[in-house]
Amino acid sequence: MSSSPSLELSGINKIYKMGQIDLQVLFDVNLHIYPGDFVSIIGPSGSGKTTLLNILACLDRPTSGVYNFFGEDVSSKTNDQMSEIRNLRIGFIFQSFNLIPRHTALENVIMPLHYSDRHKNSNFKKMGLEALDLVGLSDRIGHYPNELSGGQQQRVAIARALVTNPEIILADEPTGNLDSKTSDDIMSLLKNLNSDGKTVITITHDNEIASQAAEIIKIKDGRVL
Amino acid sequence: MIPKYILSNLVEARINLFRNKTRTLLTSLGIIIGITSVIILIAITNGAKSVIETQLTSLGAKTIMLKPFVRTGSGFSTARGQDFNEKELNLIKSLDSVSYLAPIVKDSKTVNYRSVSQIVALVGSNSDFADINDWRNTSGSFITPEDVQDGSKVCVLGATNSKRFFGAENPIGKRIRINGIPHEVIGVLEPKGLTPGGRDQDDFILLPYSSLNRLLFRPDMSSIVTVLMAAKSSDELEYAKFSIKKILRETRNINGNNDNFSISSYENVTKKILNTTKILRILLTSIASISLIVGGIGIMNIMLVSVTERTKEIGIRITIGAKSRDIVFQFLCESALLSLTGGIVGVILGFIISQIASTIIGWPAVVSATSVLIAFFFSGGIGIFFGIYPAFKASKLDPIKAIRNE
Ligand SMILES: Nc1ncnc2c1ncn2[C@@H]1O[C@H](COP(=O)(O)OP(=O)(O)OP(=O)(O)O)[C@@H](O)[C@H]1O
Ligand SMILES: [Mg+2]
Repeated sequence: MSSSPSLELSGINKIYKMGQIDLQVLFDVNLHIYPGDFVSIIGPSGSGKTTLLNILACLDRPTSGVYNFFGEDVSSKTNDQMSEIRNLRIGFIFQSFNLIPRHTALENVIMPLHYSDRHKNSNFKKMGLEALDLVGLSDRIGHYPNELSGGQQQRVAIARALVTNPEIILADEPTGNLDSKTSDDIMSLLKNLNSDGKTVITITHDNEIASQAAEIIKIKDGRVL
Repeated sequence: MIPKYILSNLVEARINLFRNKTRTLLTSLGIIIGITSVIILIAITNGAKSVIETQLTSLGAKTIMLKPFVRTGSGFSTARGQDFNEKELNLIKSLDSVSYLAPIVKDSKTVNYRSVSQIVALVGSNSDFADINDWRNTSGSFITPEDVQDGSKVCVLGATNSKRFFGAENPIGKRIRINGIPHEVIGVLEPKGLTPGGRDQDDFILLPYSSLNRLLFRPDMSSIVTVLMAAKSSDELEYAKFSIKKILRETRNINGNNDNFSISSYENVTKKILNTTKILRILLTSIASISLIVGGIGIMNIMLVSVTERTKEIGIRITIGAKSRDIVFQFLCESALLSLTGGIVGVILGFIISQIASTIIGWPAVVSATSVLIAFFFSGGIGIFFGIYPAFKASKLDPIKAIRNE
């Protein structure tokens, strides 16, 4: 890994203020993620994995420390600029899929394109179909989320994460709600994306799944081990 | 073409509003009532204006109506006062400020010509009738003072009756039977068409009043229902009315407290219409503004509920890249569409109700394109105004917390 890191955390602390009490969830986290990495974050429940991933995803801001996103300090960005980063450069995948129930698979997939100035004149449908094809769901474009299996819903969610062609894919326990067979399918999908050059970071509880990643980050009580 | 961005937000708004049809309808009720009132308000005001305008054009502005009726105590019904006599009418006719005087008697009787038979409104008057009401002949001539003196069996047809009894045939010189007695048609009047209230002004037959009274075996003076007069000019209208009152009070030896006649002009009618319009306007404006505000608050309330219900969805949208303005726009589209839906229903209801109201109050209701435009502008504006707070609230949600919301 000779190139400079895509994502670089230095001295990150995260403190939640709960009334009078300060609850520190992350302690002095330092992390370098390079282009094309495939990283798994593992750790016990409540150890701060999601908190860390949210910071990496530009969804949350650290209480202190510096987060450089492709060399740029995120703390100077406005919320709308962070939205734009999430829209174009990060694909986010959730444990509970988080599709919008009133919209079909295709409509869910192309939703990020509506929020992108760059894609104002793009052919949304074509891009959506390509993304769905990539996750092997071309035959389910008109289905609503409640008409799809868990694995299929997660594929739709992955297609949505891919539709703007971001360089980073972040996944918070993407297989947590799926059986082991479907989990394997989803993991190999993520691996394929990684071998196509995307940086993939997943959170998992499952050591076996974690072992599929090239690199494992262990976290405990808010500290990277 | 509508840009893709706006279109997708409108489609989104429509989906959400259709999902909760009852709620959408109930929420827009305030707007519906408000816009309905606005439409009726403008329709009736426009209608009143057109009535007043038609009356003030033509000779209406100079016309005086003298009736042998008096208002009874309650003010709504009338009773017959004292009949006019020839002497009074001659005195009035000789006034400088009065240029024409036409006594009017009325009835309706069966009229037939060959196979056509129909009950028709009969108007008895004299030659001044044409000048006061601005009637012109299309063919033939008009009643002469000699016709009135002799009680000649002649008549002049309103255009509708010329068509009804003669079709394309030339009626002049033909004899039609009025109440069984043959009368010679001496003229046909130029059509005036419908009144703004929808009454056919051309559906009558005019006779010398003496002839009509003779035909019906009635005394001349006691059958007079109105004496129509024209003031020399509209400036002299008030003076003419004053002089007429003075003459009648002097000859009848009465004072202003026990008049046994009534005198009016279209100015009074105009005033009455303007007054009614003013009352209606105040009433409808207050209904409209109250219900529009209540409707707006209703929309704000339901949009706040909607934001709470859809917190998770908003969280997802922000996570995948929606900026504050995207969320604001989405919710503003929804509140505007909600309000516009109410506006459209309001326009339709307003149209229907103003047509019904028009037949009740007796003047036309004109729903103009402008008023429809105003209604849309208003309802859309209210939706946007009252949607601003909920929309901003939605856009300020923390995506991490929002997405955990179930
Ligand atoms: N908004 C918040 N306010 C206060 N405390 C929070 C908040 N979010 C998370 N925490 C706390 O931070 C800690 C870490 O939470 P986090 O969700 O990052 O854990 P996790 O490692 O993802 O756990 P899991 O594996 O169960 O998902 C927890 O103790 C949690 O209670
Ligand atoms: Mg977690």
